Amino acid sequence: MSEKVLDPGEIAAKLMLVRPDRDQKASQVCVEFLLTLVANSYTAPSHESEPRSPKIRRFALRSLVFRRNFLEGYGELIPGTSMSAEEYGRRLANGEEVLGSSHLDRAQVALRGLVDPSTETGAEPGQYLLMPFHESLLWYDARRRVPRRFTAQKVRMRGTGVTLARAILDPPARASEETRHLALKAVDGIRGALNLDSSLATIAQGLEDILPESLHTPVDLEEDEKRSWRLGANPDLVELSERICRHAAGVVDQGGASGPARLWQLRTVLALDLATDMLQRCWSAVDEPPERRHLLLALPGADRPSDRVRLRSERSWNDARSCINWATIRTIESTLRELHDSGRIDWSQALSSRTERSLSPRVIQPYESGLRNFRKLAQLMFENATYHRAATDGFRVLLETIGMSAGGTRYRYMSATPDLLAAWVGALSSDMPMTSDEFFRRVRQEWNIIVSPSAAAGTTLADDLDGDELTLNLRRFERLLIESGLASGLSDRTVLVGERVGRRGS
Amino acid sequence: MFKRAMAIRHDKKVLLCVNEGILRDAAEDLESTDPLIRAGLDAALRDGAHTHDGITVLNLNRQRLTDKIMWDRLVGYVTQEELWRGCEDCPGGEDDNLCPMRANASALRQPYARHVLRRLLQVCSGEMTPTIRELLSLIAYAVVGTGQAENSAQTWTCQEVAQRHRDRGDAEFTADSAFYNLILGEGIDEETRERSPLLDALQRLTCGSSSDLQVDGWLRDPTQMPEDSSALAGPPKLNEKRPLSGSKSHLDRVRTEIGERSFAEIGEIAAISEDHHQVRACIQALVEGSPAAITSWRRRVLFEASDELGGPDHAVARLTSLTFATELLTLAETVANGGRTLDKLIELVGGLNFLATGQSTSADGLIVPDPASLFARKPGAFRSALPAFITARVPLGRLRLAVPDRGIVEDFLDVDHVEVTLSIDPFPEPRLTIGPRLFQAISEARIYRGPVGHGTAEMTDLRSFYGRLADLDDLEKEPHPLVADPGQAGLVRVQPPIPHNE
Repeated sequence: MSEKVLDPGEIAAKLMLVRPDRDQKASQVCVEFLLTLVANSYTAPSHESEPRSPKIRRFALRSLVFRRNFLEGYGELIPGTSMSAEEYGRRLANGEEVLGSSHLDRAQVALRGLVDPSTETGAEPGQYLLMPFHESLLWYDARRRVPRRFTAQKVRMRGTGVTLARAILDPPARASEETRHLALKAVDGIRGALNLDSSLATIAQGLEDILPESLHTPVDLEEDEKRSWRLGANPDLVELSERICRHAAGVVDQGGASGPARLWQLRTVLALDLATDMLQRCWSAVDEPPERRHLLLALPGADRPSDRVRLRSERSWNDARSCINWATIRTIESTLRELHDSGRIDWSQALSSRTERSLSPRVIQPYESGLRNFRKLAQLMFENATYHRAATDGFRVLLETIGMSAGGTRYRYMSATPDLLAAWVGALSSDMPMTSDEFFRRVRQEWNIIVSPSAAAGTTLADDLDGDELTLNLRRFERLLIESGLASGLSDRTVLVGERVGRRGS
Repeated sequence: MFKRAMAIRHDKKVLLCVNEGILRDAAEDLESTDPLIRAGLDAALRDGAHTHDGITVLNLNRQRLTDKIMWDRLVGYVTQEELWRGCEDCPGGEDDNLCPMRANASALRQPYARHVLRRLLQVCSGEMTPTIRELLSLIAYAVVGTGQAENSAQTWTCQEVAQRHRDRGDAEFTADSAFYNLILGEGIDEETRERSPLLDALQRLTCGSSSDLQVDGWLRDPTQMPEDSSALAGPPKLNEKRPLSGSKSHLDRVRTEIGERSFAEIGEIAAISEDHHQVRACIQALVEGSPAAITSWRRRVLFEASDELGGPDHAVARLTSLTFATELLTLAETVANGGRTLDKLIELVGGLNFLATGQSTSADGLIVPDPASLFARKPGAFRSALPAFITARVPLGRLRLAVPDRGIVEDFLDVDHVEVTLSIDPFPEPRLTIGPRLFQAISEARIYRGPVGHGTAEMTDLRSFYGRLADLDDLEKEPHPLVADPGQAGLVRVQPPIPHNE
């Protein structure tokens, strides 16, 4: 199949390899990742074409949680009864007792509280997800397609989680032995956390187990899922794979956090690793000098205009987005050159019909009329099609959904919530405890995120901001760490991070 | 150094004072040869101190200088009369009240003011570790601070006080330089305050920021105020029209657009004057000053008239944001002295159950929710709690309240009990350390059964505690799925559909 090499998705994939778009939030990426691990029994299949699809339905559980009959149109009988699956789903949706159950209405409300609010967009509950706290609470997107029937299919999960699952189940060939060791540890820890004893699991599993076998039959792997799986072995993803293995192992192996807390941190870390990998590739694509490769996080004071760290963080956010835009334009430019150099650009071959239509008057016609300024053509293409959606917006949405973006749309800056701080602490747990200064230096090393003056050394921030301003920023983050139970303030004013997570089994 | 100390530890005493980071590095380096250091360090971090096989590790972060005897010595050291007799050309002569520094020192020698200040610092020390240096600096600043952030000199000198008094008389010094404002960091710029954990913690107590109908009413109508304390407002003398006629010291004076006035004069003008200009000036001073006059007034009452509010503990509860903090201090004292705490335990469990499950009863003991269900709890939200799945119930009889610093910690260090821990007999861990803010959340949850504080930090602590509790192998788990439903009394058992075998 010839690929539409100039389409926004293909350009983003060429630039970033793994490229979630703006519909894929942290939760979608994480759940698809976990579903792939579960579907493949936490081991890499022995042969390239054998991975099993992550499309797990759990329609009975979803009927109960969302008060919507996901089993509508399924006439199969519940084994040992004369009740159809559809009728079973209807009763669950109404919170009625069914087949010897009791107090399902209470369980319904309790489970409703575990719906991940970041996924509750749009009217269609087929895309809503529960927080990923147990194997039995995970499901794939669903959509009503054939009249009156929901089926598990791609809506917002688009293969990114499959790629990341491959990267941890079977790291790329160039990955180090240490990475492979960490990958095993991470997968083992994830399996443990997803299978802890839980009343939730008893209920969720009980609802599903009663369904006929045909409703549990695995769905065949689709071609694009196979592509996503193959991408996970791409040697160019070795750094991302190493980071994910290291951070995931840290998160699941820490002491002092419950299973659900560890899984919630895993969701955050996966999204952060992915977003920073995207940005790293864009920095490289535009040859951004090392001293400008950073994201400045701020915990601002009350007065925006006089808070220079916040203002600089706003600029850092805008710089990151412009960098992704520029990298996208350069990728379009190089692709245009390649196509032109190989003969002549066949626009209908290189673009989908919709994109071709939108680019026809501003790009295609000038090219056909002899315009050969490819930088200009690339810019025009970027402005007249949805390239930003495939790249910049994907990056933005990932950071938004892990609590790293704040301040509304006009004065957006980067910050950190207690959940994000907990994920950093968890990811670095193997080296805990450490002082806050050392902690924020490690955060810089791992994710190019800057909070403290010492982490800013050698960057343009050291010229733009006073040490005092960054020190105040550091103090605010330290206070948040202490308030969130992630650090303790010692009498010599040292803040010691991660004492609890550093103690295994405590 | 560590190796040498380890080698001779049974023959002689060796004292090593090191930061935790250095000790940890040494413990890791020597783990293979001297594993006792690492074990001692970990235990000392958890328990405050640990002694075994000739090594005693003391965690000085557990040191608290707010124990009553120690505290009196500290404040006495800075405010002792001998230090504040007045210089040669002191405006006050024999009268302490005419010099702001001497008036502040004199006020801080009063037992009530000391006690209230001790209470505030005890509450703060539940969140951070104030050192002796910080405490001495703070008390010294409370005596000699100018309270004027814009003033290049943040502290008075005798020369400057004498000079200013000569130029402007008594009116030169106002509540800006009063100890009750200075001790809370007034006059120090915002950024510097934020950098000091102690000042930051004090500021977050928001002393005097919230309205108290009775205290505010005294300003409007001083006749309502008990006679012993009415002088605090500086009421004008009978038949005297001159401003500040009844003012005793800078502690009762406020600067306004119409000149300096006493609290009582401001209150009177704002309440009954017909002069629009004067009324506006006084109201502006009352609500817009930095600090506002009404805030200064409440703080003065807190430190100097707390008896009128039911005693220092009640005054702290009424005039700070942590309205239950002094209850925690009393509880910690009771626990430390081995007193009866069952009633308080029942209250704590009721509050914790509400925070964790939305049910405020303690009849089922401590309800341990499924760790996942805790993510659905948002105690700060203005909406009814959702039902939660339950992992276990721990009878009240197995719950233990303790204070963190016992045994050799008490023997070696100055400690003051400002926190309590909750654990399950016979397990030392996991334990929930209940400091002032968590206690506030628990108490609010128990009493109001509604939205509680900010919630994020408290819930992080609770998630960790309940998560570790649910993982405890020896804890007897519920055999069937149970749901705690805030809408119904008690717990309900949930039965999923039962498979029918063909």
